[in-house]
Amino acid sequence: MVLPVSFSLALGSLRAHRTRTLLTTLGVVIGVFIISLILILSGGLRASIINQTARLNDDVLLIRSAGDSTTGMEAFSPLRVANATTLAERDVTAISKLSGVRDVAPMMFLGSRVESGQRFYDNITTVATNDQLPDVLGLKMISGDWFSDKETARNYVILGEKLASGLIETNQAMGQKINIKGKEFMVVGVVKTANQPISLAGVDVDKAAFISLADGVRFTDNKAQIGQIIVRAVDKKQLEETRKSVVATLQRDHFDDSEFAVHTAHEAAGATAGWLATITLVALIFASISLLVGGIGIMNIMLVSVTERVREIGIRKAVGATKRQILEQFLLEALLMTLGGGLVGLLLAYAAGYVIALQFSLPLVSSWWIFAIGLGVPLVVGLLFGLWPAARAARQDPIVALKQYH
Amino acid sequence: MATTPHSTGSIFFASPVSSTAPVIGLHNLRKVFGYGDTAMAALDGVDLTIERGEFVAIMGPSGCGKTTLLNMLGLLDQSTDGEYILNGRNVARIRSTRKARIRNREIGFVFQNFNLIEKLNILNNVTLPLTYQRGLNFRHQQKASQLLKNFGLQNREYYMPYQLSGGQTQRVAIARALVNNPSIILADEPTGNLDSKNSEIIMDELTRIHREGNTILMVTHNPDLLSYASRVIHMKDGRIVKDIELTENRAHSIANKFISRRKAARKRRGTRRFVRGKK
Ligand SMILES: Nc1ncnc2c1ncn2[C@@H]1O[C@H](COP(=O)(O)OP(=O)(O)OP(=O)(O)O)[C@@H](O)[C@H]1O
Ligand SMILES: [Mg+2]
Repeated sequence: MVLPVSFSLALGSLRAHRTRTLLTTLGVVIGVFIISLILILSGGLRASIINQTARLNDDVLLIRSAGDSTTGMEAFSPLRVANATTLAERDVTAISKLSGVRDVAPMMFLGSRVESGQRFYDNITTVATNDQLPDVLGLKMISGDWFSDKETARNYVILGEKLASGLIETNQAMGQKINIKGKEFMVVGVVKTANQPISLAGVDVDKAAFISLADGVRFTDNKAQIGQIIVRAVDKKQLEETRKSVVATLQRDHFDDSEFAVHTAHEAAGATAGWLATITLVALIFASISLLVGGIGIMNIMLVSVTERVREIGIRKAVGATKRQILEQFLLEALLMTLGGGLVGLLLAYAAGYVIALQFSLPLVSSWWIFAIGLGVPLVVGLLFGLWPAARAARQDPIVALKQYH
Repeated sequence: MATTPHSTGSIFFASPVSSTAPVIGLHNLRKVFGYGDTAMAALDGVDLTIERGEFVAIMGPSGCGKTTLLNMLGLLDQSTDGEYILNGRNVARIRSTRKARIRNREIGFVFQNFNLIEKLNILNNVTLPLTYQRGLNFRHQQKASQLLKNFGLQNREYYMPYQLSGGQTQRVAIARALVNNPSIILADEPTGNLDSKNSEIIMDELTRIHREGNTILMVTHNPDLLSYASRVIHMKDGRIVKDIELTENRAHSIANKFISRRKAARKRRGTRRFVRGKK
């Protein structure tokens, strides 16, 4: 068996040029790090979208202003939704009367400044809605209660947990007065952190404020500009029929079909996931370029190494090493560099992915294919860029190599 | 001297054709270096037949082509012209992988300038030919270790080549050439850097290997060593000018003639600086 020998030889010669090896490998480390991190994070994002939007909400329909629903990115941008509103309060009333419908929650998005005493935030999304939203979105309360529709227009506000702790201490929030767009509201409840950065709501619940629709329309000349309506069906098996009756109702009340679009949660998730896939692909292409550069670095160093070691190659051939055995040794050297770099890059990516996932409450996905790519790609890079230098070493004529002065 | 016995099975003698053929047959072998005006024939038509089991000493002035000849015989270099038949096979028709195999299993080459790998320690240098063969690495190292012990280098195994004296380096180079139990040994001045005691150790080892039926070609400038040889070839300007079979007695007498001639020369110069040879 020659392979273990080539292995220890390759390892030895890499160790002999420690600094050079480390610097050369760095390119691959960075390339694999970026690629793996992108895969880990996009995997986490995807999982959270699919889980929370689709699987947990298979009885939900989303009605959105049309034009916003073609791509997931726009569908989940509250401001965009707010700008192109065509849905009105009468749509909510009409839909809630349909037989297959259990809950209907309108959502009117108000980007605004929210302040409490000295502290304030400028870009908080305030959602004007009704009392069915917590049911539709599955929101839980830490303290207080959701306002009921009977007590509308009383300047009550409910805060997401992160917003509450940013403005006031979470456990002291109840009963406090905060200021939204110059109007004073009293905090009557705090919503528990739900692990859903991007969700059905189209808004990060943790960082949102919720007020009643009656309070909300006072910011918009008493005209509700509803960005989206979330409908929960009585029976998820009847979702398609419910969708048809919702569409029929809307078509009756709107002149233009293109003013609205009705999606299942799954479709909405799919659109976002598709958008995510595109972004991921673009990022991967850029990351691959860095890996390519790393590969060229390795090829360069291997060529230098072959030139430096002409005499050694000559001696090895003189004592009977075949072309293949020389090729094997040098190829293995390149492979050890790329695979070692890949492994380090992969581990670093997981460490960074863990920190980021924790920070943004994403699930940390770890599937075998991320490992396969994190090690498979460097393997291919090593073979690709190591082959030419190794072949050059193998072609060396023993007597010419032996006679070379050094 | 305790060494592992030489293998009798050889990749050459497996075929019935080659068992009767001479080990080496050269026909009008030429090697020209350079082109045009600078062309120079290092070997200028060498005819030579060597039977299995011969111990051939090659002598001749510096630059007469001895090393060039050994490089041809060791399959390290290709001739410009002429034929080289190795064990009944025309070398020109042997593929490079098979040539590597033959170098690895059948030929032991002692280089004039040693050619150790600077980065490897002594033990690994000696083990090198075996690493290109099957088998466990530690067995290979055991064998290399035994050879080094025979040559009095047991406590230098983990030295690097630059830490050895010239003579020690030479003994390492010989150990490497013998480690694969070669059936043909090509030695370029194997005792050039050694004192008489160490020369004797090396020559005894070569003699033992010779007695086992292997073929040895040795370049030397030292007439004392002719007593070990069965044949002596003299070269000049790339040609063989003298080719003498040595019987036991004849060998001694030729050796003695050389020695007495040298002693006389030394006396004339009045120096004992180059004293060397058998006591
Ligand atoms: N690569 C080469 N290019 C040109 N000339 C060469 C080359 N190799 C050897 N020669 C020439 O071939 C001739 C024979 O060289 P060789 O090394 O065989 O001599 P030698 O008999 O071994 O001498 P020494 O006893 O000094 O080792 C020399 O004149 C040398 O200059
Ligand atoms: Mg020479």
